[in-house]
Amino acid sequence: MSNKLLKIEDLELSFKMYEGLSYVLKKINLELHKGEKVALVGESGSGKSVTTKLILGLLNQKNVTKKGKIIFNDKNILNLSQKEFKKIRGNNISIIFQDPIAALNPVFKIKDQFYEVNLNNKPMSKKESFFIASKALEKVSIRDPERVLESYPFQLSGGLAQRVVITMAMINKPELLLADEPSTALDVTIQNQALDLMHDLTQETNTAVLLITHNMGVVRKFAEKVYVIFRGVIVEEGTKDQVFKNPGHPYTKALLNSIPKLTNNQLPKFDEDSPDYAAIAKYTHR
Amino acid sequence: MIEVKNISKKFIIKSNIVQALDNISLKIEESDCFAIVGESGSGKTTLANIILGIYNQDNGEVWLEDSLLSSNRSLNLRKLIQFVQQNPMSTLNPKKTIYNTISLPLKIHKIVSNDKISDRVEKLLSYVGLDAEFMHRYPDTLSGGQKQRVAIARALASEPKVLILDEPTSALDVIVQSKVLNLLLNIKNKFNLTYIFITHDLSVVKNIANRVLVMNKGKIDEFGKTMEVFSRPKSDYTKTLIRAIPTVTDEEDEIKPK
Repeated sequence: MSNKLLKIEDLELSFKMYEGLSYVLKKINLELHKGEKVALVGESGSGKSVTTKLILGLLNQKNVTKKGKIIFNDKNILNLSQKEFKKIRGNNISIIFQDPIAALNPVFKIKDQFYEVNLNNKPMSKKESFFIASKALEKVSIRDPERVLESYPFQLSGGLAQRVVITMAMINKPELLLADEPSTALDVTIQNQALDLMHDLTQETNTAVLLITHNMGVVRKFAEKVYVIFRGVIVEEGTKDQVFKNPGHPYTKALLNSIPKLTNNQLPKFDEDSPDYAAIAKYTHR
Repeated sequence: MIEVKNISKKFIIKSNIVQALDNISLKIEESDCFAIVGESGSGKTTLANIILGIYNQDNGEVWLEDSLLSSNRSLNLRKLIQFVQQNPMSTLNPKKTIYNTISLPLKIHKIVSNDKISDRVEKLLSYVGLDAEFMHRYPDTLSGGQKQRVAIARALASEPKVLILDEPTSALDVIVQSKVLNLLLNIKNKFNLTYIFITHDLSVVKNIANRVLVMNKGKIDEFGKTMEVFSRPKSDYTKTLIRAIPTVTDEEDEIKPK
């Protein structure tokens, strides 16, 4: 078997809207090897979140047109039935969302939500599930896992809830973890902890990660390979060093420039009519 | 401009007492960009709410120039300090047009006569870089950055002297963030405003603020000029915060405290 885990080939996606067809993804190509940490960077509306939804088979509305291939473990999963997807989700591919409190169901205790995920893997009793969950939470340095498991999501702080969500996503040892802005809703120090935790857990199980973010600082800390997406087109790809030391595309440069630097004493200047912006626009209509 | 003297505030939740602010004193000078930094729960928003008069403090005093600010202050004092919140999606009333949202403070504080309100709203929108066309739209037709611009225009409507900005850009994309921050700086210079800038993003603070207050668990952890705090942080907590900043260049890593 090859080392390739996920390969996206010429993926196109459009939504049928009242105003007509809206093209969201335009021939995207992307590759992930086993255990690799890859970042997909772009701003709101660039199509990064819908990519994760397509990989998980969550876009099946009537107004969605999709073309191309998503090959996961040598099998095209783009048009699988929901029944087959159910086996993959949570076991082979899992996801972490941006807002941990919103990702957890507010009316169920954490232990019941773990039970649901554990059942997905194999049949077991509630007691067994509680034991497995508390062992897993202990490992992510949560001191009192029993209390956390007996809590409702609103009783947890943001950082704690995110650790619970990460643990939940990793409990069935998936081969691929999709992380959709896992740290944007968190404070800087807690953001760092969450990224470290994700790194450690995925390293242990050799899980590949597709990190979706708009923050180049987070990318630099976490990823090995970077794809930059802009209005549905991948405008740049390369290793971390290449992209950060030698950004080729004007949009990548704009992304890097827009972050206030510790070494500077004034904000990066932004001119919407600068020639760079015209250059970026050219890439989007092809 | 603003002087805070020995402010304390505690919240009682069931039987637990949370000391949100513990004997805080500080002075904010005119046309400062004063940054308050700290993680969630450190008391930075509570402090802002007391300065705004949303909460009443347990003890201590807040002074704005020569007037003592209590939580039931007169409209005249109220209009001098305005507020821009973190999440632009939830601060604008979804049932009101942008025109109604911005004209409300104009009517309450009687800034202009009724027949001039429309002109004034148009002018306020132009300050934040939006067309007059936006007046009759509803918030859900706007992007995040545009909503935040509307929120800033609304705060400017009552002609305040002080703007409290509570994480104004943390819900926005990086490129939009940089545009909104630049806009805020331009407005500050244009109207000679004083900013109280609440954030946990220290790289923004480094580039925008002239003085920084680091808060930790309701206490002042460190306070000083931005340059000094960043080049020679004294407390361990400040060092941790600076170390945690996600950076994009090697040069930045080198100047972080070891």
